[in-house]
Order: sequence, then structure tokens, then C-alpha cells
Amino acid sequence: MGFVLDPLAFETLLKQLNTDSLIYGPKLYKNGGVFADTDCCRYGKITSRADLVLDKKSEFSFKEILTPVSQTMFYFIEDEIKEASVQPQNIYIFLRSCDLHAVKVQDAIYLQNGQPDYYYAKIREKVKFILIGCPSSFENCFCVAMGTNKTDAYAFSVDLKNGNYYINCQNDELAPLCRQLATKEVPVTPSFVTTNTTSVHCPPAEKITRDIAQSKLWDEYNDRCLACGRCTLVCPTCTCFTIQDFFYSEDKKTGERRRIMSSCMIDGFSKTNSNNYRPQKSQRMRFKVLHKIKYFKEKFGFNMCVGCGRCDDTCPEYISFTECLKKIDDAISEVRK
Amino acid sequence: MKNMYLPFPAKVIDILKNTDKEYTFRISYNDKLVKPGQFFEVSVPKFGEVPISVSRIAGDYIELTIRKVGKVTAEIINSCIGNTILLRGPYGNGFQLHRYHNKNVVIITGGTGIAPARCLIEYLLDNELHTTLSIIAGFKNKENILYEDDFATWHQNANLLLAIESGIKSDDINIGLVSDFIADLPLKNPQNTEAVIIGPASMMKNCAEQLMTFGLPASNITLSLERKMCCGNGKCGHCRIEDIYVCSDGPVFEYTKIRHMLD
Repeated sequence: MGFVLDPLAFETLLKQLNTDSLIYGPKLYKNGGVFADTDCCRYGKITSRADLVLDKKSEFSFKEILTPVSQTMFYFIEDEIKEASVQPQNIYIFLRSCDLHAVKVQDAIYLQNGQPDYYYAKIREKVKFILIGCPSSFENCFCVAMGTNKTDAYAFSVDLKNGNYYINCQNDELAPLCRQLATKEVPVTPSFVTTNTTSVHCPPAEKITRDIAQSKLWDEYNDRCLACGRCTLVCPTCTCFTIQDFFYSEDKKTGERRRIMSSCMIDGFSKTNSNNYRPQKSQRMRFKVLHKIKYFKEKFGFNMCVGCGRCDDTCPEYISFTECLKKIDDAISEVRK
Repeated sequence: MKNMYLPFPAKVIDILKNTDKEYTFRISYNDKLVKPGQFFEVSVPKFGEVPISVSRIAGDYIELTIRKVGKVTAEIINSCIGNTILLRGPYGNGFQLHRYHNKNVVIITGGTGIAPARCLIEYLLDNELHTTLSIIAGFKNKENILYEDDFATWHQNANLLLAIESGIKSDDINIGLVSDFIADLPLKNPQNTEAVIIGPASMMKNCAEQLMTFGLPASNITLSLERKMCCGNGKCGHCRIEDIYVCSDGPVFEYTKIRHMLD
């Protein structure tokens, strides 16, 4: 069902949703950027349409809402263990098609691999997604190549055109509210990107053999990569975490156990007492990239990488994931010749 | 839904000192709930968790052998003065025990790799479903030898060979790496032999490849891998190799599965 809402009506829609739910979406943090006088677009609570940024790619993804960078699991109070409470409200998340595909990846790992994750499941069941229409591609996006430029797994979609909000509502509970606020009811199709400026051919998983590890293509990452882990932190599909305990300096008898986002790109990620697996950054790059385009797919049937290009946007050393895909593709054809 | 991260308190019945670094914790636990090859996450609030494999399953208790190698393990050993320990698990697939029925079984261990192996050895000796059992247990030196008290029993029912990397040779202790003694194993019928190797990564690979030169098919060799397993349940990603998660798909794998994997 398609509706056109004027700004005032859209504001009312957000206010209505906000009465019993939290809304998260891309938000502009003034002077919140890495450099002086630069802003940062990242996820935050939306209370008004003025908060919502629909024309920029967020530097960090929606995943912070489902799996916070640092999440307390329990509190240790003397001999007692108290489970951290999960906020009880329903949640709406504004995101783009690529990120909505990334939700599938998060679900696969947190809900299907092994036992369902308690904390993820508790928050995930409260979440509904609002699709942000994508009329044109941003820098470094390659969603078309990854097949994530289109989706229909949303509650409703939003496209801002000529000052009005075009909504395609697929949720029966929300449709009456949209109808009530709409200035008119027309068929609406959310905009989807059809071409990206970054064009890349994602090498098919089955074409990538273990010989690829021997390729020289990985060597440059030993020099270029800083092992800072920014690429995995901004990635909407990276899920790795580390469990860490803390105790309060004021009271050593109390503390907490948290899980903290981790990265396969940093030193010691897989270090055990007897062995440090993947000591070289080239090995870690291979480990990460092949997970994104091969190993995850072999386990779950679809590609992990959704082509949002955030890793390329954020890398301080300008390492490009798409360039790496091209090199893998070239290495495969080289072997075939 | 069960919170899989929530540890439960278990009663510590006894703490046995094995070496200067290794201690075995005897813990009250229902043996029906755990099998050889599985592991627990042992938890010390405010310090962290460590994955520890089960080294004995006996009636109403289990044993966990813990080696002091870092902050958490040191804290478990130094400050476990109370009578409870926090655990979660058991995790992992464990050994496929039916594989060893009517088979000649070879178990090769390096260092603390003997801990999960002891569980399997005792299962085999208790149930007598195998045909023969040969064990090669290797340690760095004489001071590092674990489970010496059990060797007498094993000697009676199995062919046990002890090897230390450095030290003085004696009647029952050989000098060398475990792989040096594979040639001495009675491998007359390799097709009917099942091998289990547990130890450092390079040792497992060497031994497996050597066993194969004696005609043992790769599908008859199983290894138990050691990785950094934070969650124990296929989520945290630390133990992933290619498309497998050592904690939930393993830690016990057939050699065919992991032989060529890219770390």
C-alpha cells in the first residue's frame, strides 16, 4: 500500500511510533567526525524528522543497536550473578537495502549457528525495519554486484521526494495509521539502486580454491594494513566479539561481564597459549575476505558481504575491499589460463 | 530461552596437584550430561572465562585439568579456596565413541593433550568395546608428566609408551618426540585402526601424516583442536577456520575435514 505524507504528517507518524517504541536511524553528529570540523553520520535515537538523515550513508551500521559495541551481559555483585536487563520497548530501525540484507547475516550467525544467542534473540524479536529508499549509489557502494540492492523484507519504506515522504507500507498494523496521515494514497515502489559507480565482479565462491592463499595478492596488506579493525567495526555483517570481565575500581567485589565487538584483523584475535594463528596481516585479510565471499556462503547459502562499501570508506590506509575482489578474480583467471 | 552465557556453580570435591603448573579439579556433575572430548567454559567472575576439556567422567563427578598459562587459569588455581567453581557447557561435539568398537585404537598425545584423551582412554578401558589400545603420550620433560598414577592401570590393558623431549632415559620413559615412536606402533591392520591425536597443531599434523604413510586412511584419524573459544557456541568467531567453528562443529574433527584447511 502506497501513501504520500507531507512533512508534518511524517513528523506525526514518527511521534506516534515513538509513543511505545524506540526509533533508530542515521543521524548527523555535528563535529563528531574523525577530523576537526567534520561531522559523523551514525545511528542514534530518532525523535523527530529533523534528526533523520536520509541522504547520507551512515559511517557505522545499524548493528550497534542489535549488538552494541560493548554490551553488559551480567553484573557480579559479591557472590551473586545478576543478568543485565534488556530494554523492553519495541524498536524501529531505518536502514537501506544493503543493511537489510546484512540483518539476514546477523540472524544466521546469532540465531542459527549453534544455540540461539540469548541477548540477540531478546532484542531481535522487538525490531521492525523501515527501508530507506536508495535513488542513487554512494561512493564505494557495490550492492548491485552483491545482489543486495533490492529487498522486500521491510515493514514500510520511505522515499523523500520533492519535500514529501513516499511510503510503501507492508505492515498491516501500521497501514491504518499511514492511511489516516496520508495526503493521498498512490502506488509507491521504493527506489533501488540499479548501477554503482564502483563496479566489481564478485568471484563465485566455488571458483575460489585453497590455492588462492599462495597468491602474492595478499602480500601488500602486510605493509598497508595497520590491524586497527575499523573495517570490521563498521561492517554491518561482522559479528565477532570477545567476552571480557571488568571490576569496578571503587569496589573490587562488584564487576560485570561484557561482550565487546572484536575483529579478526587485530593482533591476538586467535592467539592461544600454544599458538598465534594468523600472525601476519596478509593472512588476516585473506581470512576476512574469504569469509565474506566464500566460507559464509558455503555454510549458509548466501554471500556475507552486502556491498555497502563502509570498509573502504573508513580504512585509514585506503585499502579497498572491491580492489581485493578484483585481484582475487584476476588470480583465479590467471590460474585457469 | 536459556541464557547460554550464564555460568552455573558446581561443587569442587577435590583439587589435585599434577605438576607445578597443572591442577586437576574434581567437580560434582552428572556424568550423563557430558561425553569425552567435550569442554566447559570455566569462569572466574571479574577475570574471565577459559575453555577446558573434560579429563575424566566418573559416575557423579567430572575432572578438569587446568594448566596455569594466563591470568584466568592462574586465578582459578590460586584462588579457588571456596568449594564451588562456575561453569557453563558442556560444549562441542566430543568423540564419536561408536567409531572405536572392534577397532585397534591408537591414541597419541602431546603435553596437556592427554587431558581430553584420558577421558576417552578410560571410556575404552571401562567398556572394552575396542580390540587393542596403544597410547603414545609425550611431554616436555619428566616434571611435566601428567596422570602418572593412572599409568599402571593403562599398562595392564593397553600398550603405553611414554616419551619426553629432554631428560634421562629409563625403563619406562623414552626420549624423543611422539612422532619418533609411530613406527613402533603395531599397525598391522591399518584399515581396522582408528587413531586419535591431541596436542600442538604441528605435532598433530606430523603424526597424522606419518600414520598415513603406514597405510592409515585419513578418515580413520581424528584430532581434537585447541582454539581460543570465547562463547563456546559458534558466535564469537575466534575459533573459526574456513566454514567451521571449532567450538560447535568440533573440537573433534576427522582429519579428512581439516587436513588442507586454511587457517
